[in-house]
Amino acid sequence: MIILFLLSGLLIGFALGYQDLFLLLGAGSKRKKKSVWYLVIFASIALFTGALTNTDGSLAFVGELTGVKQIQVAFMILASALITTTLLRIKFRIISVSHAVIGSITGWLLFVDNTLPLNKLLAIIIIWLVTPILSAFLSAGYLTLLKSSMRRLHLHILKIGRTLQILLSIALLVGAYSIGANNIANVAGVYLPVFEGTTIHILDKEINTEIALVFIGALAITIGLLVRLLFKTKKQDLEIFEFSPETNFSVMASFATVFFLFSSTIFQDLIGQIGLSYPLVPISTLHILTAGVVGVSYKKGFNVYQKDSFAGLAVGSILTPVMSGLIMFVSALAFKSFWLGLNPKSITSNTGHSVTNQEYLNQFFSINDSSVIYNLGVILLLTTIIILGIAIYTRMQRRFNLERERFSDNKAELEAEKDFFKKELSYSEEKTTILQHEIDFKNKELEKFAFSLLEKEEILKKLKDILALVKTTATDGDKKEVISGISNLMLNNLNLSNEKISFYQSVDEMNRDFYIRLSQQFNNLTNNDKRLIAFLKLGLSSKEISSLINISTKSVEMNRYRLRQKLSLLNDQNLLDFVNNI
Amino acid sequence: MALFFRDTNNLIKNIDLFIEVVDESLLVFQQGVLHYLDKDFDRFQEDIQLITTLEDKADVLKRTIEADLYNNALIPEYRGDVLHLIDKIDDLADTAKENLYQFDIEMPKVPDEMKNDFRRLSEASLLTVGQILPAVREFFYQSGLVNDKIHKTYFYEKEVDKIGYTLKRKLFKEIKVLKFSEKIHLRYFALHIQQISDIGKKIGDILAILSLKRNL
Repeated sequence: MIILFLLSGLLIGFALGYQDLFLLLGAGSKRKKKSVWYLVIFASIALFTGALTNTDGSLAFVGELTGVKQIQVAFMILASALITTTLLRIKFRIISVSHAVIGSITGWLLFVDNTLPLNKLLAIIIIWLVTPILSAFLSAGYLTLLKSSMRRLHLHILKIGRTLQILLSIALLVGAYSIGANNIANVAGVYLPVFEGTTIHILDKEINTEIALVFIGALAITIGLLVRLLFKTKKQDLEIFEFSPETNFSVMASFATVFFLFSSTIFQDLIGQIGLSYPLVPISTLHILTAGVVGVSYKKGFNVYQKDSFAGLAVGSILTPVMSGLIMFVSALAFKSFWLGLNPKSITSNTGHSVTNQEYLNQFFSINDSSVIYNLGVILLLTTIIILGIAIYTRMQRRFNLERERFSDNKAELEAEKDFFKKELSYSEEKTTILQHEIDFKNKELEKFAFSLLEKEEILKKLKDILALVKTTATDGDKKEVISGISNLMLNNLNLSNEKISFYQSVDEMNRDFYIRLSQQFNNLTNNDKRLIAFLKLGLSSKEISSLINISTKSVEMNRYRLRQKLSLLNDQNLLDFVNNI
Repeated sequence: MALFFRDTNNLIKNIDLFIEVVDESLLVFQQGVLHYLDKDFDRFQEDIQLITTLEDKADVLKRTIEADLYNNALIPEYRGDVLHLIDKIDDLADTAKENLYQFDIEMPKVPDEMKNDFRRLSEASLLTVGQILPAVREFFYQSGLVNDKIHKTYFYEKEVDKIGYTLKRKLFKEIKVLKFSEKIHLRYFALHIQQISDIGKKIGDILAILSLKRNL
């Protein structure tokens, strides 16, 4: 049962270790795989050592701040912190577990005492503000120092590379040691007062429970680290570390320095010897690392983060402890109401005055009372379900957002394609319209040409008739001769053969594609049939066609009749309409 | 401490040795050309054998350097460019050897009037690379002095082009003793000698970019 209540702490430890790998691997980016494995193993050992050897630091501070004697409350504090970080990570990238834990503890203290230890909280806030600023300045300072040293020492570029690799590894180990010292406070700090003064028996040996707790916590963090290594770290996790080795080192060194100063008891003891002191409180890994990156980027002269990113960072930092405290406070109130519902007589104590929250606490969380165990089991189950549910929801939400992004990208692509095809279509339609206008124009030209030919022929025929008449009535021999000459001249030119040839050629040229379509559909048509159809399309009557091709109107009618048969037209089908629809 | 830097020191030695070998091969090339022009064919043959040995040694060193750079995962951000640089430097040795071989195989007919021009051309070509190889060494230690040497390389490369142009002009306009085909043949040898300074210029370009990257 105790292990179940330690679950939230172990989960936090696992999550911290899981997250810390990507920070530490950043320092080891672009190395050989074997080197990375060695690095992680040594970092794990350093982390473990840091957690075990710094029990007087931030771990003790958190324990003292919480002062909780009930394991169930300790569980709830860490569960609230876990719920807060899970929920806020949906919206914000950088969320600190340390901030959430302190927020939860604050919420609890408010519920129990209605007061807050303002001095301690002030110290915490000051340290939370100072550490990222210090990290930014240190990273910029380290970079400047490194570059000037490189210039002065005239080292070979390969030696500089190797030296940086070694320095980076040292920074990594110091950072891992300090992270261990810091994170153990988040994992085991709230449980310390619960097990104060108690011992457990393992293999016939009596061990201080606090030490066992710290050991389990450190183990949880290390397991998280190693499990993350087994799942291949994706490239985007290391994006932040796509810097040169000098910059990489500056960031890691500032990170390790700040953590060493504010998490490890070694420096605190040293400072203590000269009469100064400061509390060791849990600080945020992500904030300090981010500040280090910002520091080097400003030194190099470019902005890594935009204004809204900074705003997001600030909002996330404030929201985390507030939300966590709120969740803890509301949960405690809810359980108090739940207990009141089951035990209404507990409103007043035996002495007659109202029971304080602490007294409710003692009644509610009394381990010896078996009726409570069922309630606690329900609480535990609900909390676990909530946490799992949130985790699954977050994952699904992320997947959904990714799909939605992909879908919207595809949609945008398809929309663009659609627009393109629409434009192509309208362009083709415009082109078709233009070409159709050209065809209509050319057809009109042909019509005019045909009509002019016909007119000329009419005129010439009339002249011929007039001359014939004059010739028969003329008496003078000379005049008869002249009239005869003019008549012969006209007869020779009456047939207008050249113009007609030219006209036929124009008609054939204009209707070339039409003739091909005709041949495909009706392969029994002759050239004359096709020409007749072309004349009909031009709107010429049988009489006009007969004049053009020098046959009688009746012959034209016969040709039309034969054409109808060849085209297999029914009696009620109009030849002209049929031809225009081909 | 020395244990941590053992591989690095070996690699540095190999790089220095590689540059020396290439430098030597270019000097042998120049000697070979001069011996050929002086019709001292015995020494010319010795030069060919020597340049072959040096070129093979340069190839082996190049492969060793490549393997060590990857195995030790050193300078990952510059590795690609450094290997490209090493490759181009190796081209110098390869080109020098091939040119000398071509002298040996094709035996171009160089009239006495042209000998001095060819001497000047080969000397100028060697001057170009004489600047760039020290620039490469400077880059590995301190990139600040690299740019001076790169500028000198560009200057000498332009001089080589001018000398080459004058040589070809003289060959085609003034020399009457050679047939047209012989002139064309000789022109190619002038081009071969100029090629060395062109490679030197390309190395200068790569160094310039690398030096910029290091200062970022």
